[in-house]
Amino acid sequence: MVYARTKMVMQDSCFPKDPGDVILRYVGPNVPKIYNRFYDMIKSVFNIPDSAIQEERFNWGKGITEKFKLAWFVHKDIDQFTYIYIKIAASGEGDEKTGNVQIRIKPYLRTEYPQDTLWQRSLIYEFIRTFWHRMFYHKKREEYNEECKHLTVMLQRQLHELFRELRETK
Amino acid sequence: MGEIQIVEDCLAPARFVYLTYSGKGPFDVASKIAEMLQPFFRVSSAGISETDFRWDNAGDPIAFYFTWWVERGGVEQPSRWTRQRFNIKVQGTQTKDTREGEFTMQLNANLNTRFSFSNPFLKGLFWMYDYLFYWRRRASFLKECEELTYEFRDEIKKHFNVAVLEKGG
Repeated sequence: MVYARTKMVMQDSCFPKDPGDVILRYVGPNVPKIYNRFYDMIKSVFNIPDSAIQEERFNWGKGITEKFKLAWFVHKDIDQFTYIYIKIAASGEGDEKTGNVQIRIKPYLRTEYPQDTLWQRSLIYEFIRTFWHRMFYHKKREEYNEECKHLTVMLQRQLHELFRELRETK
Repeated sequence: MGEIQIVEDCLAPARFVYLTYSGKGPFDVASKIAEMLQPFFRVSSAGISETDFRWDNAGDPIAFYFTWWVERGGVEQPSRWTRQRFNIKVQGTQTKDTREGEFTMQLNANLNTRFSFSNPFLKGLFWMYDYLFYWRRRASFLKECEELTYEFRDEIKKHFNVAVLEKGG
């Protein structure tokens, strides 16, 4: 991620407009276990440390069944200017016998160019940057977009696997 | 005499992070926060303040609301020019007989860099120093500030025994 006070951000959804998000629903046992398993799964699929996952919202209700609602931001740095940014929302309720959960994954590709200094804001810099972006970086971003799609699909498959495992766990 | 001030959100892109809990003994969060602020953030008593405490005992459930702030910085840490500020806000209810209820905790953190200068030369020098070296330190303070906020929330989660993550790596 570019560390700057002012920056130009280019954001693309990794998937085409429809379907822009990945939504998964699970109905079955062991719903509260999903939280920890899913967190570890994100870390291993994207190969990121804990500090790359921001848990913005954490609602947890304890009662006869456990009820939860979460929002995560995940970012994976790819190079100096570009990173994959994923918004994840999960909500569910249940216990070890029955329950349901819904997970929504929104992957984006973000490129940031710093614009802090006078030089970075100048017309000459902008000419050079645009030229460089068109000639070289555009192609690179397409590759990154593919990687973003690939990682999201991988996460989706791992989740299917997790759901199957949870169904079979007694 | 002028001053340069740079304020950055530690939790960007989010402004706040939240923890909502419902279950047994939600008011325990108050005592938990009060006892852990100083050792957790490693600050002196001057670095923390409970700015608001409301406890409405009139009805059932009892409603409560309190706010704290923690400030790390100055001569000790993170640095001479930079301070980390954490704002904690808790609002909730608890029934009188069963002690059941819920609370929502809102956390917000920012990094405040201030540099006072007496002439334009010093101002220019600071910007140059910041552009070449100090931005790296500010970036590390920002990361530290973000991690502290999440760790703090994890401590509260542990206290209530809800979905504690095994972190590492």
